[in-house]
Amino acid sequence: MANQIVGPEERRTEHQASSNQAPILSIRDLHVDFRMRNGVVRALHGVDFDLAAGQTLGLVGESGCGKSVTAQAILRVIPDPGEIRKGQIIFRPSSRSSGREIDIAALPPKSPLLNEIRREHISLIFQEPMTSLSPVHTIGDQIGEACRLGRSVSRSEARDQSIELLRRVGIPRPEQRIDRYTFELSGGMRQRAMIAMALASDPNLLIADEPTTAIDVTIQAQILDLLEELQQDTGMSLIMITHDLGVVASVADRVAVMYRGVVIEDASCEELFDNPKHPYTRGLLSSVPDLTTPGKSDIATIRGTVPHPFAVIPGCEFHPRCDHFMEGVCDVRFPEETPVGPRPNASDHVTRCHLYTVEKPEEESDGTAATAAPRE
Amino acid sequence: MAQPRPQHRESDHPAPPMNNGDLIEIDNLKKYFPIQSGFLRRHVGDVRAVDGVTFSIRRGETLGLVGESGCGKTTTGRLIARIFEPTDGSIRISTNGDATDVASLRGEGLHDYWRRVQVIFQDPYSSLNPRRTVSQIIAEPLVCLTEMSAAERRDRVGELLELVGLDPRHAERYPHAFSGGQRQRIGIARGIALNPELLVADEAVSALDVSIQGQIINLMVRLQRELELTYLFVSHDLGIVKHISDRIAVMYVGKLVELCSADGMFRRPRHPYTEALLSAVPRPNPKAKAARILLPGDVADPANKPPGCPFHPRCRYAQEVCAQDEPEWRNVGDEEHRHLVACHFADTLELKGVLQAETTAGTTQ
Ligand SMILES: Nc1ncnc2c1ncn2[C@@H]1O[C@H](COP(=O)(O)OP(=O)(O)OP(=O)(O)O)[C@@H](O)[C@H]1O
Ligand SMILES: Nc1ncnc2c1ncn2[C@@H]1O[C@H](COP(=O)(O)OP(=O)(O)OP(=O)(O)O)[C@@H](O)[C@H]1O
Ligand SMILES: [Mg+2]
Ligand SMILES: [Mg+2]
Repeated sequence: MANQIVGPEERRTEHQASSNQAPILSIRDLHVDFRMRNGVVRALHGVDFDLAAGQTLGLVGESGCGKSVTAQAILRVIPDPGEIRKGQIIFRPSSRSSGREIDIAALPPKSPLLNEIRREHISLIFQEPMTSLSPVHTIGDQIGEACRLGRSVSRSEARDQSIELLRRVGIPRPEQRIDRYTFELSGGMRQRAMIAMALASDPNLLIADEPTTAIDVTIQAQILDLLEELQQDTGMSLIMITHDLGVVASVADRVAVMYRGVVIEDASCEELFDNPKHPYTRGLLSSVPDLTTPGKSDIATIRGTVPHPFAVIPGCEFHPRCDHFMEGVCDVRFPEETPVGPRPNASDHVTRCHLYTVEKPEEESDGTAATAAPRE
Repeated sequence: MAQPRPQHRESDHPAPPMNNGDLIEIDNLKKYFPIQSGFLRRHVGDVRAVDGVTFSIRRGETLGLVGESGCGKTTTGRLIARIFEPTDGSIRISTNGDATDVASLRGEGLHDYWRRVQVIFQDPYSSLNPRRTVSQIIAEPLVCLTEMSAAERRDRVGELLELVGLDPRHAERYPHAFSGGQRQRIGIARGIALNPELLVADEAVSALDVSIQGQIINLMVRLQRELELTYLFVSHDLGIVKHISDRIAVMYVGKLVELCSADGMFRRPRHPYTEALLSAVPRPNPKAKAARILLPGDVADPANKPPGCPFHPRCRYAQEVCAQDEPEWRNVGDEEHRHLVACHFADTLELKGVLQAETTAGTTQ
């Protein structure tokens, strides 16, 4: 109610009129460094993406590629010694063109506006439930607290709301579980308690960092349905960070694929699964174990491992593991973002890979470079 | 650790010899957590986290354990690793052909057992001590349970880091400096540090992205061959479970509902809960709107189990008998390919699996 930027009512009507409006979130050239005693981890170095209001962006990529740091940057909760070195995080709480734009990256760490955003507009479901659940408070206290933030809700109303939320995320007997401590819950229940807490403040933007890894598929389906329902009712936008490409395929409108701190491919969900371009994306898609083939078999993998976080790799960061490595090109130049979608020069499907950059390496010698695109 | 164990049957039940080929046999295992209430912490009921499970794990096999979140998988793993004491039932491990009752182990015998059975824990954040470096964490079992010198430990840690695909130069960093997936590898390195016989892997790869997940699974399969490991592999990811497991057990509120070969289960599940589980796996194809079987009603509650078959309130095939009689745990396969299931209608229901019909087989589907 005490919503200063835009209330839920307003949000809902905007949602209905949505389509060609400004994105709720635009990340531009975001750099985050961790300055350690023995080196610098360039966790993000030039992340770009947009999230349209009411839509779902799937954020996928190798372990350690910077997905969680991206989420932490958006809420400005990057742990020490990490800091944003460069770039913008433009948040548009109201999607009307007249609405204000806030560059979250530029806000001072203690600014009241930042607190307001965290309290009322953007919620984060952390990857590790125990980092944000307190071991010394009951889950009811913690969810109730989140319900009461920024709203005039009485203690008992907050309790009722918490019970209802716990029920909706599939926790049995919520009226009793609410008085439990986190160590008394199973892994999946903790995760669901976290989800309930993140939803308690009725956010415009929910960032869910691996929200269902500890949850079985039937309850996962229930939670994904719940998120979709909330999006339909309230116009909530969602960033779904997950390594489960099945989850991405079933919830995302767009997908951004990250590798070592950059977005290397960005496309609509259907386009990405139908027509992946970057060799890393292709490798990722073929590593999904198939349910439907009989017998035990090796799972396809991408060769090599993610390099040391301190390592600085010249050119394309993926080149040491890439089957289409072109010497003198991939290890020299950082690939520009290149449109590769069905419509030429449109930005609806972009990738960073020299196989698709305009100046083809061997162009001088003959015209074959144009056919160098990987084929299965 | 060495407390007297409550009401545990000792000699009234002469132990039958172990089945040839079994590493571990679990018989009617139970773990109840008391629910207390009020200032006096009165005992008002029990969470029946594990409520009478019976199965065995063969030497060298991978047994997958899946089921609803909160159904008791982690508790089962912890009972087997003797981190928890069972409320009832027995666990026996084969030692040079003889059965050892795990509950009776004390002192050195228990240490021996812990060397043989290791766990990779579910939550890589809370299971790794943030104040210890990665090398200290991995060396922990070596310090507690072996006589290795510091230099030997350092070598072993380096070897282990390499084995799980981490740079040995990371050894002196603290766990918080690693991503979730990297931390999970640290847990695996610690789990295999002692060359255990049985490794209980509790969601060991669930924080990993698919390409690394594949590498770790392939690594676990390789280690299994080289080191003759036996795995109890707990996971929600049915694709992974199918790939790594020889047999799969499905659990529902503290009980097993189905146990058979991986292919057998994916081809034709015999329990309606398994069918629902298989149908709910999200497929990596945005156009395939899965024919998901929705489970109506409340998620099962181990503190308040329904009478009869625990799944009956959510089962679309339930009949009157399901609400009254608890189904028997029985074999509906043959002696060679045992297919154990607890469902009154396992023989008559035609449940749907997810395996593609083999081209050679008659196409009935
Ligand atoms: N607190 C920290 N101190 C130092 N480095 C860090 C810290 N947090 C993250 N990093 C580094 O930043 C990089 C990105 O980490 P991040 O947690 O964002 O990965 P991720 O994509 O979320 O991976 P995962 O899928 O495994 O969760 C990694 O190389 C990691 O080592
Ligand atoms: N220490 C404890 N005290 C009280 N109850 C507990 C304790 N540990 C687990 N439980 C309860 O026992 C039940 C089974 O928990 P367990 O952790 O074994 O489930 P799980 O199958 O591993 O679930 P998940 O897939 O979510 O990890 C749950 O209802 C849980 O709340
Ligand atoms: Mg992460
Ligand atoms: Mg568990």
